[in-house]
Amino acid sequence: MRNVTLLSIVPSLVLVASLSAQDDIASVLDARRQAIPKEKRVFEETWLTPADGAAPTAEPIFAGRVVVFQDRPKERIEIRRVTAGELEDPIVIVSDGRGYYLVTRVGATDLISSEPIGDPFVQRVLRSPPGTIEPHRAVTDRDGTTAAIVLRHPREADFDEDEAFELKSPQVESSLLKKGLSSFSAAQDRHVAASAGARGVDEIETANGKVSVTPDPAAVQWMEEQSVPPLEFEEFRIEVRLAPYNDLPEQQTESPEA
Amino acid sequence: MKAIVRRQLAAMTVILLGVIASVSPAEAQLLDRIKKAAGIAQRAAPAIITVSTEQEVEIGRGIAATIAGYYGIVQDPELTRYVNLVGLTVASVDPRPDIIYRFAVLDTDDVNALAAPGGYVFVTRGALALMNDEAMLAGVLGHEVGHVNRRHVVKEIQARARTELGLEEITEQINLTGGEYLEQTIQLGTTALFMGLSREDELEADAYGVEVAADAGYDPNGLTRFLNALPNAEKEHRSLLAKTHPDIDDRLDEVENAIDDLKTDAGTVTANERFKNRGTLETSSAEGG
Repeated sequence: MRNVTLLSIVPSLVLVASLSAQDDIASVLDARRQAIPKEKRVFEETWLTPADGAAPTAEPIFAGRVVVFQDRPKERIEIRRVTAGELEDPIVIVSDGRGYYLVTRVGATDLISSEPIGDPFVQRVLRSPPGTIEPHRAVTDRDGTTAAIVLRHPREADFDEDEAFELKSPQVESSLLKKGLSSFSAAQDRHVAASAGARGVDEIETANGKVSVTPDPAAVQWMEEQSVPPLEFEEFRIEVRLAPYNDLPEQQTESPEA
Repeated sequence: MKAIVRRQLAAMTVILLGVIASVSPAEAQLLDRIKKAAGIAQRAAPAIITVSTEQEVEIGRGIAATIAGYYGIVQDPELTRYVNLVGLTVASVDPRPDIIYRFAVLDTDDVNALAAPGGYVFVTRGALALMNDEAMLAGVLGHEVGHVNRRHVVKEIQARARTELGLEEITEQINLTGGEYLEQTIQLGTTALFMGLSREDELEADAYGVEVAADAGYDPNGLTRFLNALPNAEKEHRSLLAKTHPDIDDRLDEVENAIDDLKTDAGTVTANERFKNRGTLETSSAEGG
């Protein structure tokens, strides 16, 4: 009898916890919407996290990139994060000024009841200050441990508002996010057929005189196959602090998230 | 449609000529300028030669195949990956989202770097041998990315196609990658590269290279160091570069001006150790790459 009672209570507790979490997120989103600055703007954030089990002073690793488009009270947040060493498809969140929605290729659904809202990374992004902030900051969890280092860079706000905040037939990935990540990845590659460019001997005119050349399309195909994985590209820049990592301090400093 | 535009331009010119007779000298000067502009537009009307991104990539791929056939490509995956990483770092500062940038090393002692349309960028083994650090490579690749992003070779093709492909009298839209034209267009672009782009385009690419290298976080003096190192190469290995580019002193002046125009927080990274470890053919071959 006692067991039956306990079993019947557990789902209720889960429901209460779930409702409480939803209330929490709802208030986070409400506060976020109100804190969107007046001016139309775009910024890009690079998220880095401490490597699992690494010493606090160890080099952080690339965890994802976020692009935010704002035109008060509307907002669009594009999130691409790294999971198991791979860059995931973007999560796109749009606010029409009243509510926040998860946008997919088929349409928009209420963000609070969507699956990504349970993701700690997405929650940290949404809890981040939407207004002006230092170019780099540490995000700490409730227990005080550093959850992420975030680098923020302003970008040109030349986006189309109708397109960015569209909910009915949304554009899932903006060109800005593509610029930042996927235009260099093999997944986006558009290989031209190997036979393309196969031609006979060309006589080309050079500043040193005419020469005969047999074009080598196979060599070009080899060149096209040498793609750089996005995560390696990030690590390459982190290693010597090239952009966007030139603001990343050599030593991590921790301060609580506002 | 083009005939209508031409008739409208002609009518505008007649009207303008009539108005000029009854205006002040200052107004006449302004109208004269408008008339000249209308005349230029009228003359330019017959041959409309546009090049889409898809066509640009197709043409660029053909030119890249000719460049690869002429010099050969160093098929060393480690070295190529390193050159791609540096190239993508500078390209990512001001990228064209419609193309994929690809970088490779040409197997020649000649000192040169070349960019075909559509994002195919090459640096020679001879040029790498003159470099001591990654900022030098970034400056050179930044220059080539400038040619790609500003579509310098495409502009040359568009300018030459009308006369050299006999398109003066053709009024319909020209598809430069359609059947008969593709090979000729590739040849035009290859000739433009090997005979040299305009002085203005080369100097613009120099300034662009400095800017993107600095914005990427590299020491902007990398290109200066490379240009100063050019005389160290055997004369025969730099003769094509010398004939197809402006004088080194003029280039150095342009580069210095571009450095002066940079923001105060320009990059400082030279990454000379990393370059020594990854940017030389001997090292990457020795590692079995």
